[in-house]
Amino acid sequence: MTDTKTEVYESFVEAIPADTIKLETKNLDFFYGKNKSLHNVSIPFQRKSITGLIGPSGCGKSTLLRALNRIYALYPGQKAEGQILLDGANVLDKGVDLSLLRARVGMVFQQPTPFPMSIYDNVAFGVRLYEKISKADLDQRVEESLKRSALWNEVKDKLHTSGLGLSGGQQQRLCVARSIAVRPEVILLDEPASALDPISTAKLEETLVELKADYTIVIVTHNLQQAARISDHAAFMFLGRLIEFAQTAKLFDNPKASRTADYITGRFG
Amino acid sequence: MTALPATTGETTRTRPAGASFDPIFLGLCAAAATLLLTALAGIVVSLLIGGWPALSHFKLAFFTSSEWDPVKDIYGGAGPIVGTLITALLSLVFALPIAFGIAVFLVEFCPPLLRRPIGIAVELLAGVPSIVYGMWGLFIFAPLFRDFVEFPLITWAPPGSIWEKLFQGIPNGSGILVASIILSVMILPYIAATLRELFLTVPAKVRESAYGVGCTTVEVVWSVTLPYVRRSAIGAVMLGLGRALGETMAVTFIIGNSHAFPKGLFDGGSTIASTIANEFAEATSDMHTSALIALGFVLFVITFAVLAIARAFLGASKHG
Amino acid sequence: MAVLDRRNRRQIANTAFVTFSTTAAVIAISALTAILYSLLVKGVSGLNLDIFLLSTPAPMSQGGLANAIVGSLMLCGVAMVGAVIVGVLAGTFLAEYSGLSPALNAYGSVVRFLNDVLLSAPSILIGLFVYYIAVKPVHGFNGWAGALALGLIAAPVVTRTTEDVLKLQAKQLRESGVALGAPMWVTIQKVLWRASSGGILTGALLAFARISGETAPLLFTSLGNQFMNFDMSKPISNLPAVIFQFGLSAYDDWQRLAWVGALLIAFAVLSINILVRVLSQEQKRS
Repeated sequence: MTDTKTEVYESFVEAIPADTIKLETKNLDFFYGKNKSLHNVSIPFQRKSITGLIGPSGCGKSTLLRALNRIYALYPGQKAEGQILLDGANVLDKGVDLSLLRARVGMVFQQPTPFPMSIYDNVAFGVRLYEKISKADLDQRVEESLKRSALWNEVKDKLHTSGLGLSGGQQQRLCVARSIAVRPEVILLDEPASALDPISTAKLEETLVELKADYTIVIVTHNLQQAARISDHAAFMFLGRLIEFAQTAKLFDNPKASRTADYITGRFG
Repeated sequence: MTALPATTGETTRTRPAGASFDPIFLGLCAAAATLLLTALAGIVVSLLIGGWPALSHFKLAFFTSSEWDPVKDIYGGAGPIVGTLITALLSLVFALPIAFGIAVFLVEFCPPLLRRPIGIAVELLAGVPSIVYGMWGLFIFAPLFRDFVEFPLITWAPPGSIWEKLFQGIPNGSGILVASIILSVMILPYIAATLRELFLTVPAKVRESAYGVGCTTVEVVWSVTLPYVRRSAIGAVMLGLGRALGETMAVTFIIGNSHAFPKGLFDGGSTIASTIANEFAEATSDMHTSALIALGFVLFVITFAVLAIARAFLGASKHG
Repeated sequence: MAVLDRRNRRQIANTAFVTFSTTAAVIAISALTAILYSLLVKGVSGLNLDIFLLSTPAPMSQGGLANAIVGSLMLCGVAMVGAVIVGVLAGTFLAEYSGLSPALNAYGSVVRFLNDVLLSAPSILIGLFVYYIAVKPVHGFNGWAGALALGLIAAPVVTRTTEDVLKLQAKQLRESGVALGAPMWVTIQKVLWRASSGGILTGALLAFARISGETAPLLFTSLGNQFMNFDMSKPISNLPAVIFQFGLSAYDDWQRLAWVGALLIAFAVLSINILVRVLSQEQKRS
């Protein structure tokens, strides 16, 4: 079947070694009701690295991210078709347990969303859902998570005060800690720094770069410099289609698609 | 069954406890919502069933006759029905201008420092229990009203004039007019608070540009603010009317409790709610009980209609 | 000249308007002051320890309001427990679940509208209804019926506030719970309810204030009781009904007690109202 549109929006997808792929989508379509907002997206996410999703607003980058842990399932009328393979298993299959999927694929949102409870309870929240572990083990898990998200030194003396009392940047790192405490394999971040000041942003980026040693990270960002700074691979999306996927340096220095070039040189978007 | 292993690396996970409780919880929430719905349906049905014997026995006369006689077991509800409408409308006539004045004062003139205390004081007026209004109305306000309003007016009214007719009644401090005044104090804060919120929805730019071309406050309010909120303001007024219609205790204290048509503003009367409050627990016969409940049904229909109109004007905007 | 006249007229109109609206505010404040003043003058003189220790007396003998105070607290307490459970769940349904499907959405709109009707239905009609379902079948006035009537008045208030405050919570807070893999009901209970607890408490307090002054629906449900009674299946005394009965009586002693009762109720209700305002102010600040 020939579709003229696929001609216009030809995808340039750089292959990555199959054994390094942690998560990938294959021919993914996404619908808001009758509105198709992702078209045939096939993109690999490399294990233990950061992939940045960029593109003008409304291009589908957040939609793609929200498909990966099936958070969209909260809303009736939204559905994904095609395949999303996590270690080769399709997460879109009917029998998939969404809770366990989300334990393996964590998510951090644009606005910091600390729960209305203590810092400790925030971090322990997810762990308590899945694991029956001793108080000592839990303490250790909380400490470890807070250390990895570079928040421990700032909060270790006030673990039992409300998470709402932290600054915006601290709250966002608390959300990262809450997410990694569950020991996920993939972490999805939806413009996590857009509500933060430059110093907090730098600190968060540093944290993410350190975390990639153990996690597969996918980050949506509207900030091209940020994508260039921290991501290993970058994907440019436009009108619900994947236009180009490549190593970040290549995508920024030598884009294959003219739309990518236009976007990163600031000609539109 | 699942294609995804729950256990990865060194972490052993189980499905969150109570993961399958979701539908049950939804069921509980839906059941609670249904309970409210059932309660309302129950009110309508019980009023209709309970009132049916009286309605079917007296037919139209229940609405047109004012003969309410438990001894002869004859019940015509026109007195309380008309009393309800008159007191509610009169109270609205009194309350509306004052509520409007308060809202304008709070939005346009009030020194910022006083805005909050005065706003709270007005809202507290809404918090005073109905029965307290009743006590106050009967023992404090009514005697003053009798001495300083009723007596002078009755003495003054020229014989044969319309005033004489209007001021008919025993000057004892209770009656239709006093009840309406007390009611107006009770609904005042509701209307004032809603109007104030409506006025605040007018964008500052719109008002400022009117001031900018040299409008005085009264001109801004009349030609900018009011047209802007007109529809919703009607809704607010209707909500106040709804409250006045169903108000029971304060009215029962001071309306004089007579079932005849009131002859004048100072004459005693009754409302549906006051009649039920006075007689229901001591109803003498089944027909008496049924007639009271039929009155209740009429009251429900009236308040429901008023509320429906209010909502139509206010729009469903409060709940997006 | 004509121009000057016009300007003068406008000025005069404006001054009249300012005067009018200021007077309106003064009238409202005076009404509140007058009511509180009479309550204090008439009520405080009758306040003494007996009020809280003795039950309502026969005419022309010594007594207090202890049975009525205890009865009112019992009726309102039981009513609030029921109203908060039903109201919070129903409000949660409207805010969190009614968007899940077109059918639930339609049902939600109906419930929302009827809840508003219930919210402004005359309380005396609620009393009539409860008389039919909880007094007539058991052939006797009883405390449960009174509590049920009060609960039906309070529940719509709690439902409305719960829905409103839940809807104020950020969508992402809801998603954060779910993104951790928590079941929806756990997210609602542990995250959303907790985040909204201040608002829900406010709504519950306002509902409590409203029902604690309610009289009409108690007249033919709980009725009243001359004696101290803790048995909800028997008639229970309550402040509003005592004020009604004593206030309209011909006995001076009774009328004095009615004033004390009115004072107690009014100040309890007004304190709750003020407390609510302080609470919601604090919340805005944090």
